[in-house]
Amino acid sequence: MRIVTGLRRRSRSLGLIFDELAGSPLMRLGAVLVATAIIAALVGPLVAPYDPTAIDLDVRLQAPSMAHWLGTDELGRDLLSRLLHGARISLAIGVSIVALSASVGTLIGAYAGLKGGWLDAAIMRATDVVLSLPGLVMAMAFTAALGPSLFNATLALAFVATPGMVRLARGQALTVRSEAYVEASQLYGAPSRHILLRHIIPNAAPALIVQATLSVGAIILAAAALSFLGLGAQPPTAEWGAMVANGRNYLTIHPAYPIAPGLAILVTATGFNLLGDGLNDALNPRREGRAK
Amino acid sequence: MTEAPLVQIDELELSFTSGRGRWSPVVKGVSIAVHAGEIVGLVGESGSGKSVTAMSIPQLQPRGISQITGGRVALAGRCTSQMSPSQLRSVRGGDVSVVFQEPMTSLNPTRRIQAQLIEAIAANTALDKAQAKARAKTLLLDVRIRDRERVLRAYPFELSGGMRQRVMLAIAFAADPKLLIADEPTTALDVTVQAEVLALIRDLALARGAAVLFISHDLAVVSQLCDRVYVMRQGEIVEAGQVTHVLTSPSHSYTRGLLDCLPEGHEKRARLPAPGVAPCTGSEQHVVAGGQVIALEEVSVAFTTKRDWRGRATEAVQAVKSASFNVRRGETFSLIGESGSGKTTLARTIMGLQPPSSGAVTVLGRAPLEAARSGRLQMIYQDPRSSLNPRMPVWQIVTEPLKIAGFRSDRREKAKDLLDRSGLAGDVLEKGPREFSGGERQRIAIARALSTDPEILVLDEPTSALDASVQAQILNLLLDLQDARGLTYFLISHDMSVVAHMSDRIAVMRTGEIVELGFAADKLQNPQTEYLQSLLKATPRLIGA
Amino acid sequence: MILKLVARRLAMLVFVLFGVVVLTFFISRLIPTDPARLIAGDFASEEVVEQIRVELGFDRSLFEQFWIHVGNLLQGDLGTSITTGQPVLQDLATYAPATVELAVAAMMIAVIGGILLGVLSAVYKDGWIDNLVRVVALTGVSTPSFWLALLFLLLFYGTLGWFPAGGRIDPTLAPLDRISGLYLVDSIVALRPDAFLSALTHLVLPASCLGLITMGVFARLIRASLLEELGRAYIRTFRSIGLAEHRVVFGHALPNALTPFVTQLGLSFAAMLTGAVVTEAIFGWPGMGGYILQATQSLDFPAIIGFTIIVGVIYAVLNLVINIAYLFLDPRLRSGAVK
Repeated sequence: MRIVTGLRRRSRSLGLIFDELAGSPLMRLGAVLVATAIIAALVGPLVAPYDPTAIDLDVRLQAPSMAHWLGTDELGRDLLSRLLHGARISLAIGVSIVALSASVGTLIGAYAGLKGGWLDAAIMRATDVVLSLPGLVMAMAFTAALGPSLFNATLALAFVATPGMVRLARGQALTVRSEAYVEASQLYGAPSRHILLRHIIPNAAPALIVQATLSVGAIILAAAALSFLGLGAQPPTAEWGAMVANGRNYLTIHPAYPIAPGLAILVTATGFNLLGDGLNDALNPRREGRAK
Repeated sequence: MTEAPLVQIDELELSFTSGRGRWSPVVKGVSIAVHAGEIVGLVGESGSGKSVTAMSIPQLQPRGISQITGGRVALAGRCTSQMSPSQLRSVRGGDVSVVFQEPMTSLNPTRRIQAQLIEAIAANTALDKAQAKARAKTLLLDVRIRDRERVLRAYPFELSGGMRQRVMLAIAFAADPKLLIADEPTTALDVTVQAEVLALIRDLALARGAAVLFISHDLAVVSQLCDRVYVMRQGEIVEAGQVTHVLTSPSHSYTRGLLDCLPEGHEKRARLPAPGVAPCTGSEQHVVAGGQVIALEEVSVAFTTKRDWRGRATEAVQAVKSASFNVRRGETFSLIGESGSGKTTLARTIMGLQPPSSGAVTVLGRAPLEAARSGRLQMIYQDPRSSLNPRMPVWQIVTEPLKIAGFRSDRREKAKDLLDRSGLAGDVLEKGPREFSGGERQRIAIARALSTDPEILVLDEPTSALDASVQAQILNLLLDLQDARGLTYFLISHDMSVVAHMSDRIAVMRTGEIVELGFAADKLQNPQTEYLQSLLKATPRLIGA
Repeated sequence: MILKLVARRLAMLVFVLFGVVVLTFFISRLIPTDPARLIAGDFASEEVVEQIRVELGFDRSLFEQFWIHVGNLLQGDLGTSITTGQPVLQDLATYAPATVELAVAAMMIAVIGGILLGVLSAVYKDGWIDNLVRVVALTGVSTPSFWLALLFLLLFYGTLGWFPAGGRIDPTLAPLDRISGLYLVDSIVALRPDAFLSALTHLVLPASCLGLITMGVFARLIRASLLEELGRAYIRTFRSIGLAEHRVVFGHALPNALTPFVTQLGLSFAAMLTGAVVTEAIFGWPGMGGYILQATQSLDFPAIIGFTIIVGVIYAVLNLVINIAYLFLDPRLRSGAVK
C-alpha cells in the first residue's frame, strides 16, 4: 500500500496537477462552458445584433428567424441580444456575491477556528441562526422590504451565502491548526496574523476555492429564482430569470422564449459545478495515510 | 521439503498507475514459495513492493490502480489470479487470511466485536447462529483474551491496540486457513504488546499447522519469528534463505547494508554506515561537563476528563506524576516509555505547550515558553509530513523562526547555509516539502530548528517514521551536530537500540511516573525495575548478529 | 451521558430559536417602510396612520416592542396578517398541509432516487454507470427549478397530456372532508379512490420537479461518502475474509456512509419548504409558498416573520432529532469518545 502513497504523493507536484486537470474530460467541459459564459458576458453586448431594450411592437413574439435568431419577446425586443446582455448580469451577480461571501466568510471562519473559545462559539451560534432561516424567503423578505432591485437581491443573497463559507473556513482552520507546523510556529512566537495568512489560509485555500466555484453556480440559480419571482432585476433589464418569467405565458406558442434563457442558466451553472468538481478531484486528492 | 509448496509465486510482475494511462512497474519478477506450516519472512523498506506481492496471493492488491502484468500466483496448486470472484471468496478466509497493520481502523467502528466475529465465521463455515457464537468464544480463548464477555459486547474503540489485533487474529483464524498473511501486524504496537502478539501468531500457526507469510521492515522481529526470509528491494528479491544464514552471512550488499545501519552492534555514538556516508570512523570522546539547562521539580500534569454543568473539573487523569530531574548542558537525556506513559506530555510541558498543574519547570533559567520564543529551545517532531507546511517553499520553512523574530534580509542565503549544514545540498530552496522523501524532510525540520542557534533540541521520536537506512543518516547528523555545536538533546523514544546508541542518561516512565533514572550504560545493563527489565526483554534482537 | 448530551442540544435549540426571533424582528423594523402607513393604505390621513401606530404599539421603544413580540410568540401569537386580516398562525395552518404533502412526496423521490443513484455510482466507480449518474446528478443540481417546471408542463401536460397543469385535485369532484389536510391521506380515510387518483396525478409533476433537483444533491453526497467509507481499512478486512461484496457494501460501508447524509436530510427538508415557493407558483399549488409570495409582494411582515419563524422551528427541531438519532447510530458519539 505504501507504493500507492508514494506515487500519489509525487503526483501532487504542480506539473502533474495541471496534467490531471487537463486529463479530466468533464472538468474540461466545465472550463469550456465557464469560458463561454465569460466571453459572452465580456463581448456579448458588443456583438449583440440589437439594443436589448429597444421596443419594436411591429415584430412582437416572432419565432426564430434569420433576422432574430431566437425570435422576439412580447415587446418586439430581440431575444438573442437580451440573452447576451443577461450573461453579464448573471455572471456579475454570481461572481461578486461569491467573492464577497467567500472573502468575508474565510476571514471570519479562519479566525474563529484559530482562536477557539467564546468568540468561536458565538460566531458558530450566529451562523446556526442564519442557516436555520429559510434562505430564499429571507432574501425575498429583504428585497421586498428594501425595494425589489438587483442590488438589494445581491445584498440579500450575500448575507444568506456567507455562513456556509464561515463554517467551511472554520472547519479547515481547525484541521490545519492541529498540524505540527502550526504548533511549531506558535512556539516561535508567531502572531495570529502570521499563522492565519501563512499557514491556515494557504492550506484551506483548495477547499475554499472548490466551494466558491460550486457556490457561483448555486448563487446564479438563486438570483435567477428571485428575478423569476419579480424580486430581482426589474424591467426592462435583460435578466435570464426575469426573461423566463415573462416568457412563461408564451410557453406553447413561442417555446424558445422561456426555454432559451433557462438553458443559459443551466449551462452556466453546470459549467461552474463541473469546474468545481474537477478542481476538487485535482486539489484535494483522497487523504494520504499517516506516516508509519 | 519434497511436496509441492502451499504458495508458489513465479516471476510475478505488477504495475501501478498514477493516472493518465502511465504504468510503472513496482514488482519485477518476484518468485516466492511458502510450504505448509512454515513461517516465512518478507523484508524490505517502504516502497520495496513487499506488501503488494503478498496481497497478490488472495488477490487483494489495490483495485483499479494496480495490475498484474506477468507471472503466476498459485495457492495450493490453484492459480488465484485467474479465479472467478466466487472462487476467490471461498479462498479468502478459507485458505488464506490476512492481518493488517492498522489495529485502529481494521474493524468496523459501529459494530460490536461479536457481530463482526460471527460474520467472519458465518462467511466461511456452515455453522448456525448459536454454533457460531460458541465458536466466537472459543476463538477469543485461542487468542488469549480473558474477559471474553466484555470484549464480545465491546465496540472496537473501547479496546486497546493489542486487544484489537488479537480480535483480528481471531477473525483471521475463524475458518482455520492454511496460510496467514501478516502485514506488519505489530508495527503500531508497544514492544511488550508486540512480543505477546508475535508469540501468539507463532503458537496459533503451530497449533493449527498454518503457514505464515510475515511482512516486516524489522529484521529483528523477523529473525525471532521466521524460519526463512526473503529480502526485497525496489520490486526485486535480492536475497533469500534460512534466517540465521541470511542474517549472519548475508551475500547481497543490500542485506549487509540493512543489517549494518542498525544501531545495534555498533559502538555507542559511532557514525552508522549508511548510503552516502563514509564508513565507520569511530566515536570521538563525548564528555558532558556542563551545568543544568532543564530543571523539573515535582512536576505533575493533569487532564480534566469530566466537568460539571458550570465547567468546573470534577474528574482528572494524572498524565505526569511528580517528575523531578535535571538535564545538563551537552548531554543526551532520553525519556523511555510505552504509549500512554506520559512521555509526550512531559515533553510538551518542557516545551511550554502544556502547563504543569503543579511543580516548576525551568529551561535555561526561564519559563519554558520564553526559552522557546527566544529560539534557544527547539523541537523536532516525529512526523516530518505534519511538521512542514506543504504550501511553503523550503527556504521559507527553514527561516520561518527568523522571520517571526523580525529578521528580514538574506533569508534565502541563510536558508541555504542551514540546509547545507543539515546535509541537504543542491538547488532545493524553491521546492515544496512534498517533493522530498521522509528523511530529507526531517533534515529540513532540523535545519529550521538550527536557524535560531538553539542550545537545546527536544527530539520527539525523530526517526520512528523513517526506514532503517534513513534513520542511520539522521542519527549520524544529530551526533555530528551535537559534537560540533555542543547541543543538548532531550530525546523521546520507544526504540531501545536508538536510545542505547544516543543517550548519556535515561529516564523510564510508566503510567505517569518516572520509575528509573540514571546513566544509560548502567541502567540498560542492569535494569532495577521489573518494568525496564520487561521492556528490554521484549525488545526484539537480531539473532546471530 | 445521553441525557446530558440531549439537554445540551435542547439548550442550543432554544438559543438558536431566540436568535431567529431577534434577527427577524430587527430586520422587519429596520426596513425603510412604515408598517402603519402600509396597513392604513396610501390615501389614509396622518391621524388614521398615527392611530394604527399606537394600536400596534409602534410608538413604543424598539426594545419594548421586542419584548411584547416575544411575549406574543410564547403564547403562540404570530401576529395578524396585513393582507388577509387573519392570525398568521391560522393562515399558515390552512396552507401548510398542501406544502407538507408536496415536500414529503418530493423528499421521498429525492431520498430513494438519491441513495439508489449514489450507491450505483460508487459501486461502479469510473464505469459508464458512474459517469452517467454523475452527469445526471450534476445537471440536476444546476437546473433552475422554475425552468424545469416549465419544461415538465410543456412536455407532460402540453404535448403528452399525461398530467394536469396545476391545482391539487380535480375541482369538479365532490370536495374531501378535511381531516389532515393531506389529500392523499384524507382520500384514503374517506375511501375515495377517485379523489386519491386525482390528488396523486396532480402531485406527480410538482413533486418530481422539486424532488429531482434535491435528488442530484443526495446522489452526489452518497457517492462521496460511500467511496470514502469503501476506502477504509475495515472494508479490506471483510474482503480479506471472503465476505460477499454486496454484504461488504450494504452491511458495512453503506450504513456508515449514511451518517453524513442524515445530517443533510434536515437541512434539505427546510430548504424544500422554501424551494416550494417557486414550484407552487408555477403549478398553482395552494400551499404556503403562494401565501408567502403574496406576503412579500405586499410587504405583509407579520406573515413573512411568522413563516420564517415556523421554518426556523422546523429546521431546529429536525436537527435536534437528527443529533439525537446520531447518538443511537454511532456508539462512539454515545460514549463521548468522539465529539
